[in-house]
Amino acid sequence: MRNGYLALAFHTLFILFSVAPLMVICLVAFTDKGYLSMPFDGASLRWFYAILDNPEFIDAFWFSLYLGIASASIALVLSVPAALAISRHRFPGRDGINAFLLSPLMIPHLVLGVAFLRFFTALDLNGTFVGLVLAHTLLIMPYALRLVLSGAVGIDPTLEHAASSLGASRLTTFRRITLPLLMPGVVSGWVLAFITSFDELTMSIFLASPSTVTLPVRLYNYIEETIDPLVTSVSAVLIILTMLLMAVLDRIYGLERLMIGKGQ
Amino acid sequence: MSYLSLNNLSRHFGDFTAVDNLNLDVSKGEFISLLGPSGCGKTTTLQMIAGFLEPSSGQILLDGEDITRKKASERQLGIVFQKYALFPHMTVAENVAFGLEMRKVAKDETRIRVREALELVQLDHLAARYPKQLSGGQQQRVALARALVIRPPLLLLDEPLSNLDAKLREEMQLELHKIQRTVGTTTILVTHDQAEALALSDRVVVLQQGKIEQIDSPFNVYEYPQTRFVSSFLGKANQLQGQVGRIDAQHAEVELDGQALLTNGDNLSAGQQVHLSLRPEKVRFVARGEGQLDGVVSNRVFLGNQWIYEVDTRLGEFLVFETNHNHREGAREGDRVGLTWDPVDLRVIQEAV
Amino acid sequence: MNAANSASPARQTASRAPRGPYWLLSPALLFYTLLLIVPIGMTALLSLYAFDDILGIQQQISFNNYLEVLTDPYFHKIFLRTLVMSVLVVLVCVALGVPEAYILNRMGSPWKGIFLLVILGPLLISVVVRTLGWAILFGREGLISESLQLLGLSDGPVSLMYSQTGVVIALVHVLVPFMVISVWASLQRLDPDTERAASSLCAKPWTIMRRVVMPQIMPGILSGSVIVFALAATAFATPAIIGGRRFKVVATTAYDEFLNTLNWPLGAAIAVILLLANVAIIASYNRYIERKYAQVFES
Repeated sequence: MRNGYLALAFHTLFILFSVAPLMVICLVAFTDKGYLSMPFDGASLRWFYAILDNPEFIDAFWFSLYLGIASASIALVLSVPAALAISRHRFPGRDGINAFLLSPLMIPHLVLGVAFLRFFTALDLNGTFVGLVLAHTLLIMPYALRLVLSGAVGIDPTLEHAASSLGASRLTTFRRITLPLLMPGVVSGWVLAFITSFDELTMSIFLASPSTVTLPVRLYNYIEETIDPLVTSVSAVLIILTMLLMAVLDRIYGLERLMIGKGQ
Repeated sequence: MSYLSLNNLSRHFGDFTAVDNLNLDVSKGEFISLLGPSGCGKTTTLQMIAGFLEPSSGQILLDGEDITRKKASERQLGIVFQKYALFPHMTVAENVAFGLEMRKVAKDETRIRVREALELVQLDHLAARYPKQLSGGQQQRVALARALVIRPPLLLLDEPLSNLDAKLREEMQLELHKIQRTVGTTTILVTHDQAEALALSDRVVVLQQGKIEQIDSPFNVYEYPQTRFVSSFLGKANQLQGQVGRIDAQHAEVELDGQALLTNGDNLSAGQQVHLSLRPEKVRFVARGEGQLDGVVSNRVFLGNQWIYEVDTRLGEFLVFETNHNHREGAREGDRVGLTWDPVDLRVIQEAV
Repeated sequence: MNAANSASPARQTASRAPRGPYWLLSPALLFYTLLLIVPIGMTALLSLYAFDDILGIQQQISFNNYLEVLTDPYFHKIFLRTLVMSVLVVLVCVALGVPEAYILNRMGSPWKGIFLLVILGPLLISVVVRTLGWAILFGREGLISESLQLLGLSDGPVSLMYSQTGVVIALVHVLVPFMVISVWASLQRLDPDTERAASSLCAKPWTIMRRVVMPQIMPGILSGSVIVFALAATAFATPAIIGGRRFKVVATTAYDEFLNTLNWPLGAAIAVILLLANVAIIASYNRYIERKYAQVFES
């Protein structure tokens, strides 16, 4: 079955709609003017150099990077045993526990932000790196768990029986058979968790203090004040980095599978 | 007078020729099988008849009308798909009624015809179920009822039994045969299963690499294969090659590797190179030296109704089938045996060597 | 379950709860208890406290905050506005996302893969960045305003900033990939032969669409709608940047109560209402889908 002209016209408009705002950002970032304008009558890299003079963006970038790495790693450490338990065993409360572990997906980020603000204020953890790591770990756990789980469900349990029948101990079986087979799920779970943490705004905005600002929060605060070419060049860099990451991911895992993990 | 004609039908996919200048005439009420291995062009041919693929060249005539460029939805054919393609969101009755609804058949008549069609496939008691709640065999019957209820001029079956297990497949073969004879719809079946083709059809079309190898009745295709491909694709065959020697009124002698074998000598001339085919079930064991050929049993397998032997001979390995009717075990591995057969059963294949 | 099962000793040992899975789950469950149950519980408690402009938070339990939110016309307006906006976003996402997923599914490789990347890729870019792009496009001197004037569709500069239309457009852009994925996933399960079967039974293309394709991808459209609705109703960044102070929704209102007015108990009450509404909508939608389609799509 082929698409007709009408369908292709619709498709073209849809794609244009999808990329328009991102294209505009990338174009405006190259302007040589001091205000928002298209670079067609004068392009320069001045706004990219300007990022270097604004360490608050660079600091926020590194902060978000560390935050994402730390929380994605903790989320994975918690997810792998949980995913193995859920995929391998039948036990009372299994479905309930599974739903409970995925439940943060149903909680608006705003509510999580409010709840953690209240909680961390009581514990005197508010505005700390530790607090943000804990909050982000909870937020991204469902994404990590779901991808690890879908990887674990696909592993044929008879492979492990085969390994033990050949004389492998339980630890060896886990290390040599289960873990390598689980690796695609673990890697993709980590990446999706990291990206979700790195992009998060709504919850983080409640928890950030002047010394713990993530990049999206920094961008948001800046945009609240003013929209100038500097914020577009920072965004353009983010867009390009994300595209590079996407290309790598697509090679390794297949972006489609990852995205379906994010969507449902 | 042919009812369906395929005239010089071809289909190319880029450089690949899936169907190559195919000619076929089908009479009204006939059951035809397109038989061949995967990639032989049988499915492509079916899709062109159905209207899902346009032929690269050639013509399709149905009841005198040229339907080559007609849309699938206007050809009014009944089609049973390999995986049935039942609408999962409709009940059995709704599935069967769909085609009638598209033809704006009145409600009352629809109800009657749906019930008749379901009775024909013995599923009237499951009319309210959804496809997912049925077994594979039952889904198959629904698909058949859905295709037949519109009273199509032509019924197309695309490997309809390939998703059923062996036992169910045999049952459905008998069932399908009976139903087709009852309704009398001209039918084209695509299959790679030779047993299915032989059991169901009036004529079998054997295809290979987009070309017709042979069109014949099931008996003739099996007994008188015209090409080496047909003789080996349908059933098992011992294939030999030799040179025609002496010819007399009844027989011709074929020289193989210093050994002369008798065959019936129609249309042969001395000195000609020929292929020979011998069905394993036509070969019998005799005492050593008393048959046409001596050998040693190298392997044997018991299948319940018959034995399969592999016998080493000076002409290579021979396959022998022996029916299990002797109340005793036959030859054993290592036995030295003689092999014999009726010279008529040693078929000459009229194909260029 | 039944007598035969419980009578069999072999069955009994097999069904006795193994300890292993609980050990494996314990770190995650402990973490969730500390960082999900406790904070949400504390927030629920906070929402029952009173707030005084001078004295701050007062630990007297009452439902006054909820009464205020549920009776004050100001909050009614904000909740209604959020609801209308979210419904509009869902409708536009269905209108755009469903045909696009279908068209995409009919494309051959490599286009299918490339365009899927183009459509889904923005999901990996921060919402702040994506919304910024729309803010630039929507301004009085933005591209949209200029092209509308150029085409003669408008006399003066037009700004979509701080308007419902602007927020809906930007939110559709942020959320439509979820609809595409969801429909795409259900299209993957659709047997293309069912379309052919319908066509062989004389159905016209439009009929095939309406009677054969749409019903089969309905679960995908519905679950996509739930995701889009839930995310639109609770979205913060896009309404905050595009809608600003003039187009306030529930999320931005709660944010203001917390960080500007510092009325934490009231903000907590709004958050709790938002949470309950969200969970209720998702749960009832899921129930509906399960009940409606269990028979059809499960064996």
